[in-house]
Amino acid sequence: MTIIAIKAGAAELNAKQRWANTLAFLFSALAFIIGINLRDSALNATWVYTNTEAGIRVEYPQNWLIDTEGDYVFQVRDVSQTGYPTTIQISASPVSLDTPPRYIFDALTLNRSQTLASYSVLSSGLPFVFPDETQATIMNYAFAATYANPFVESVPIVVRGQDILTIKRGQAIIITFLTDSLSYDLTYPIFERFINSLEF
Amino acid sequence: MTTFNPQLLTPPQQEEEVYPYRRVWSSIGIESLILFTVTLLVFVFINLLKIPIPNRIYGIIDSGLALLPVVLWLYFSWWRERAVPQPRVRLLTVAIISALAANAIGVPLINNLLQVDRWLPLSSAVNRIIGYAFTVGIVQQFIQYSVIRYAAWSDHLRVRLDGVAYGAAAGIGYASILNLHAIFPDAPAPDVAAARIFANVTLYFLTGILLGYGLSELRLGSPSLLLPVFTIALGALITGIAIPLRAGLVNASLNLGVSAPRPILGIIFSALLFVVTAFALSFFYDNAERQAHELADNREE
Repeated sequence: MTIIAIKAGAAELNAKQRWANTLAFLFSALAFIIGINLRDSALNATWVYTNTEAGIRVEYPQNWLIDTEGDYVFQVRDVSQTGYPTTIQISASPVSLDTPPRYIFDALTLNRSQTLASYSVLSSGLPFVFPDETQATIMNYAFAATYANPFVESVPIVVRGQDILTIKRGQAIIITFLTDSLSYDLTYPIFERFINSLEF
Repeated sequence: MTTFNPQLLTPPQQEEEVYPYRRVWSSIGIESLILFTVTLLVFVFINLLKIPIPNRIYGIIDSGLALLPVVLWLYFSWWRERAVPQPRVRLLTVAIISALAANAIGVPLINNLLQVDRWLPLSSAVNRIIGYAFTVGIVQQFIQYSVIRYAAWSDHLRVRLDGVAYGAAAGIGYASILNLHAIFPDAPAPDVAAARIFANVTLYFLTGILLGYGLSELRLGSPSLLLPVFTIALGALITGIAIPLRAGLVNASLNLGVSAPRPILGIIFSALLFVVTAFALSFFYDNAERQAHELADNREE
C-alpha cells in the first residue's frame, strides 16, 4: 500500500501572497463603502413637491405615497412600512396674527381626543426654529391606532406624533409627523430632513 | 515413485494507491442531493398531495429542516474525514467560526446597518442586483474569506481540493445561521422554509467553494495578484444576482388574474445554479491541478 504524499506549500508567505491578501481586504472595504453609499442614496432619495397656491416647496422621500386630496395641503406616507405607515403632513388654516399657538394646540387636542383612541399630549409649547429663522412651537403626543391593516387582525399600534406650528401670512401652518412609537427614533431623521428642505 | 511438489505461484503484489484525502466533491454532491430530495418531498407533500400540517408543529419541522444541512455535513464531510489517512483537521473550526461570525457580524451588519429590506426590494432590477452584491454579497464573502484565510489557509491547505472542503465548511456555517434566522421567530410553512434553506445552503456552498478556489490557488499555485479579489467580487455578484432573481421567480406576480407564489421555481433555480456553478468550479480546480502536474513533470524532465 502506498500513500500518495503531496507536498505541502511553504509555510512562510511570500510577497505576492501578502499583497494578494491585502488587495482582497482593500477591495472588500471599498465595496462595503460603496454599499453604504448605495444605501444612503436610496434611503435619502427625495422628490420635490411644489404648491404655488400655498407657497410651499419641499423635498419628500422617494417612493412615499403623496396625497393632496384631503383637508390638508399635502400628505406623504411610507406605505411600504409594515404596521402604522410613517406620515408627514402639512396643513394650513387661517388665523389672526395674534392668535397664541396654545389656542391652536388646544383646538387640535380637543378635536383629536374625540377621534383618536387614548390620545394624550406628551409635551406642548416647546420652541422650534426653522432653518430660515422662522419661529415655531412644538407639540408631542401619542394615540392608539387600530386600523393599521383592515385585512389583518392586529392589536392597536401606539403612534407617536409631533406637530410643528408656525403662523405666517395669516395662516397657521402645521407640519405633522406620525409614526409607530417603536420606530420613532429610526424615522425621525427623515422628518428632520423634510423640515430642513421646507421652503414656505 | 516420483512425487510432484507443486509450487504455488503467487501473483506479484500490486501496490494499491490510496488517495489519502476525503473525496470532497462526492461528499458535497451527496449532501446537496439529499437536501434537494428532502426539499422536493416537503414541497410535494404540502403543495401537491395537500397533506395538512398543523400550525403548531411548524416550528418543530422548520427546526429539523434548518438543522438537516448541518447534520448532513457533519456526517458526510466531517465524520468521514476522520476515517482517511490525511484528514482536514480544521473543518469543524472553520464551520464554527464562520457561523459565529455570521451571527455576530454578518447578520447585524446587513439587518441593522445596511437595512437592505428597507430600500432594495423597492429598487429596479439592475439596482437590486448591484445593491445586493455590494451589501449582502460583499459582507458574506468577506467574512467567509477571512475565516478560511485565518483558520486554515496558511497551514492546512495542502492540495487544491482542500479549498473546496474548507470553502464548503465556511459556507455551511454561514448558511446555518441564516437558516435559523429565517425560521425563528416566525416559523413559516415548512415548504417555504425548506425552499429557503435549500437556497441558502446551495448559494453559500458555492460562494464558499469559489473563495476556496482563490485561496488554494494563492497558496499552492502562482496565480495573478488579483485572483482573491476576483473570487470575492464574483461570489458577491453571484449572491447579488441569485437573491433578487430567486425572489422574482418565487413571489406571486401582480396581475388581475389569480396569482400565487411559485416555490418550485425557486427550488429549481437554486438547484440549477448549484449544479452549473459547481461543474464550472470543478473544471477550474481540475484544470489548475492538471497544469500544476504538467509543470512539475516538465521540471523533472
